[in-house]
Amino acid sequence: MPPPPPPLMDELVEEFLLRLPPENPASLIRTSLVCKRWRRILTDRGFRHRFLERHRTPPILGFLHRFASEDASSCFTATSTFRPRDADLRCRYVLGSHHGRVLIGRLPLPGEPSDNRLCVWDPITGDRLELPKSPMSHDLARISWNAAVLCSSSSRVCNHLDCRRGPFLVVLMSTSADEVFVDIYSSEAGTWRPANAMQHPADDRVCLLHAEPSTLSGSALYFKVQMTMHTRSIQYSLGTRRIDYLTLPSDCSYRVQLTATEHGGLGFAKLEGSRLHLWTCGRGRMVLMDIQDGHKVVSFSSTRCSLLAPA
Amino acid sequence: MASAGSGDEKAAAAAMITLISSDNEKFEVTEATATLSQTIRHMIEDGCTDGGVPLPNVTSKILARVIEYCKKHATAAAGEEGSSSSFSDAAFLEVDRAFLEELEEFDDAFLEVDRATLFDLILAANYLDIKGLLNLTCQKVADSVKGKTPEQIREMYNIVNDLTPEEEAEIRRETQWAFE
Repeated sequence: MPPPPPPLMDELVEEFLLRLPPENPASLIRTSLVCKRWRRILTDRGFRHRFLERHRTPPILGFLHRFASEDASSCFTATSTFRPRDADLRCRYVLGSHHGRVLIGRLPLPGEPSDNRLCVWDPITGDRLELPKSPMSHDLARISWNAAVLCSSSSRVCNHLDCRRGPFLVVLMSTSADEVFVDIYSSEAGTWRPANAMQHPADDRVCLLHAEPSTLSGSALYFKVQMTMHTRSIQYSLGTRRIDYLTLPSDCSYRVQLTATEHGGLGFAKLEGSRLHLWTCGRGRMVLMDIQDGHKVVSFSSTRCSLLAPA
Repeated sequence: MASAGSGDEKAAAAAMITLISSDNEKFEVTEATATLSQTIRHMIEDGCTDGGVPLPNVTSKILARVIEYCKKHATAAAGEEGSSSSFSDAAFLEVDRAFLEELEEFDDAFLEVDRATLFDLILAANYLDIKGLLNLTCQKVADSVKGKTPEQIREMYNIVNDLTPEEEAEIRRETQWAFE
């Protein structure tokens, strides 16, 4: 029988645990059950940070659907071994997800009108935080809205690799017949506060497309809006609080998915047959960047999917 | 291989260093081989290598393996340097690829050891500060663990389970998906 392996110091146990594959989170969980010492090393905040720093690009764990499918109460389609906790979204739906948190809304029930109350869900721990009633509830003039949850620190301050448990913001964009409003909930303050309001462009109406998730790129959030004649993207800059309208590529305003580009800008994706067309926004115009075989890019086949940013 | 030859020639002309294992065995190696270890590099820079370098934490059995690794990787590094000036870009890429493939094969064969030796190599790579070897051996342990159950990992590495049954049951309940 071979001799037993010699004991390793904590930092050397950490050295090999850091090399476990991030795309298979089950191996991290199983390894944490070996003994108290390995569990202590694996659950240490410093380890978590070094693990994320080492592997940088977090793996895709699965996709969130806006609504749970009829035969299952879960809104999550896994592409890894990971399964979210308390994913039962009966009477709820997914608005979007950034930085490891998921924003969920409440569906109106028969005899009980929707109160537009939002909830932030952590799919790893299953924790849910019900937010106080939003300004939508107090202002009947507001006719359309959409919202997004994100880390409260900007990308310059936080690399968003391990901020899932930290403070967050919920940005609510809404419109009345004349104006567009931005209200922000801060988890630190525990309240909603108005951030900006702007008149609609002259002779135009703006209606937020509620069924499509927002995109976060650089330090701006993008939502799709229906104007009188066109579908456009509305941009809210988190630092300057500015609201701007962006034109979509003329031939692709229908069923186009807003995407973030590698350089922190806005892009668009559209599936035509089996071809995926990717545009990027540069110098005020759209540039067609790439056409890929859509069969290989499953994530864009539905505009109602949003990526679960893993923690 | 011409480029590997030029590496050997360079190595032959270099100064020799004596490494002394914990069981007092002496190993003569070139400076290029020895300085893959940052620990030894610093000792050479400080001029503390006269009369040999004692390595009280490394047995002769493990030191022989570590030297085998360093020799191969030092030769590859020297060969790569030599080849860059004497080949066209395409030929250089070809040689480069051949080197990498050969090095990968060497590394794979090098890791065919029992688990006790693997852990001894990790300890030696850490003590001697040889980044490539530490990475190689730690990755091997990570690969050996990744598809296994906690019971299999404990058995492989002779680890006693000191979690209470209640603790274990709670973790399993919270993360049931990881055990399906």
